[in-house]
Amino acid sequence: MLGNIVLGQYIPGNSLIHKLDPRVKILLSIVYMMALFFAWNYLSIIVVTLSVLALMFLSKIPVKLYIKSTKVIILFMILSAFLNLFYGEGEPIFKIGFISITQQGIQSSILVVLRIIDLIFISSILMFTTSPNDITFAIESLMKPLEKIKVNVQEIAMMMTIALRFIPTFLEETDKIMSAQKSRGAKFNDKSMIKRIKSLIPILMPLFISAFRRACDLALAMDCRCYDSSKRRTRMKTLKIGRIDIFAIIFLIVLFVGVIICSKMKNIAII
Amino acid sequence: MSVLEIKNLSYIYNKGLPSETIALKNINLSINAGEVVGIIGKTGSGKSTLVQLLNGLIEPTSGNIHINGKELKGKNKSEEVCLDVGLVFQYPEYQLFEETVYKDIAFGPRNKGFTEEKIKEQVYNSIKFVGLDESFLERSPFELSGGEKRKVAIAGIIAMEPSILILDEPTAGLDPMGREELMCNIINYHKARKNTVIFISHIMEDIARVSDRVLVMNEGEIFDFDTPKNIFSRRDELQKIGLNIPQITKIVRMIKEKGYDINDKVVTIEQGEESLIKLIKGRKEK
Ligand SMILES: Nc1ncnc2c1ncn2[C@@H]1O[C@H](COP(=O)(O)OP(=O)(O)OP(=O)(O)O)[C@@H](O)[C@H]1O
Ligand SMILES: [Mg+2]
Repeated sequence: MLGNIVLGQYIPGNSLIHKLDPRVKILLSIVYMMALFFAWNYLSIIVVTLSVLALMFLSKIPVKLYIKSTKVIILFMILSAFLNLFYGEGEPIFKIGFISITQQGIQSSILVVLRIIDLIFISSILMFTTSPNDITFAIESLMKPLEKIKVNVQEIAMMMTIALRFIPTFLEETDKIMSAQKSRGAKFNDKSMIKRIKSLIPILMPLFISAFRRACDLALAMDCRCYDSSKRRTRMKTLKIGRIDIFAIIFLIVLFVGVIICSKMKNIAII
Repeated sequence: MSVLEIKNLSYIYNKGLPSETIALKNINLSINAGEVVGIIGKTGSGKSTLVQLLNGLIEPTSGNIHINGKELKGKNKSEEVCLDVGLVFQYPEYQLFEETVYKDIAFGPRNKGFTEEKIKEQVYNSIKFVGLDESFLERSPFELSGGEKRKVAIAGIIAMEPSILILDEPTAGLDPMGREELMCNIINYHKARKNTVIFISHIMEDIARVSDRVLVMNEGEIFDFDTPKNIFSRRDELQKIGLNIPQITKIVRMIKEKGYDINDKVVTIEQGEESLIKLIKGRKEK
């Protein structure tokens, strides 16, 4: 049941997107989000959306999973669409009492929804196609310059790696414990709030105990192998910018410039 | 009468994802009331998946399960029917959470709605069944040894008086004494209550000793479901699917292969002893 959480789950594969350098992927995701920020009219948002759809297609991951990942914030999406609908300026095309809907209101609510969807799709592409280890490695590599001001980047990266590494483990464990308690007749959907909170104890207790045990074991194991975060170490896998990465960067620059130009073309109505 | 009917049951993990795994394929099975069924099969053959389906924790991808004539589905699923099937998980130690062993064992019976009096009785009975001293009841479950924790966890299920008791590798990781004790307790428990027991084990001797019938799983399918004697006479086929036969069966077989006239339909030490004595006596008479 906890397996339903899709957000932040790596799905192995070897598509073009999987093969991109994680650093490039992270930077490009940020650029994409900035491009979304500039996409204030239909033309520009359509350009962005189409390119996102193309990337999704290239990632060779079932569309179902992408759609599933939007479910988490569907409420938020509806709410923002609603608010935008009523706060438009200009000539109302529809009016009941003090509620009026304008051309601009409709436009901005469509834009907002598309933007949120694009935003989720972009981060999903990044999360689905990049293993957590690659992400931390990329972040470590991107944070390198901070070492100049005496930030221990390696230590931070190690903490992130460990935290990420244990998320699936804990989800699995929670699942296991829940199953075990359920088969002892535990109920997790009681009407009364207090009972519901109480019903969490049989899950949280074993979970915390095993988390602490794991942490101790891990610390001991690291100590046994003389782990020292201040030592420089090499990696088994090193990151290299390849030809696809260059292509991706060029593609993104073109897209970014394109979006800005499109967004400047005031009201060339295509719809 | 059969307590458990399984028809065309299949189960697929992560359906639709790239990590899709077919764990069970078209299982048909019927288990009689009061029977002891041993399940064997190599790692990953779907044993744990099968028993989790039986107590409604996961739902079949297709097919259905009837327990005591009631289908395990919808409304039935959440309540009595499921609690009537007591499942002891593989490595059940992690399910302990209460401050004292007493409270932990009482958790299941309390959820089942027993009266305080009955709960107390159940707790005392079940701790005895698993072979622990009553002094354990006041201790914290977290300061017990691994084997003791295992026993407390099993007691927690037995205390719910399930009509079908399922144990998923109950003896894994126990010392020889602990294993022996636990097996004896399970046998005694079955003798006393006459209820259905299903248990999974990788130790062929244990399976041979206690089961009325043995279910052999292979890659998500039923390979065979028969008496231990019949199952373990198919040594070569079992070895092909990564299983083995009890030591004693092997020994008797070897004797027979040397040309001696011995009854080799033997699966337990006692039966082996009998066969050997018969062989020796027969030779003396000649
Ligand atoms: N939670 C899960 N998610 C995905 N696949 C799973 C899950 N649990 C089990 N599987 C897969 O289903 C198959 C059957 O697993 P199962 O746990 O039933 O095996 P088993 O016979 O109990 O093995 P063992 O003897 O090791 O306990 C295996 O191939 C396993 O990889
Ligand atoms: Mg198992």
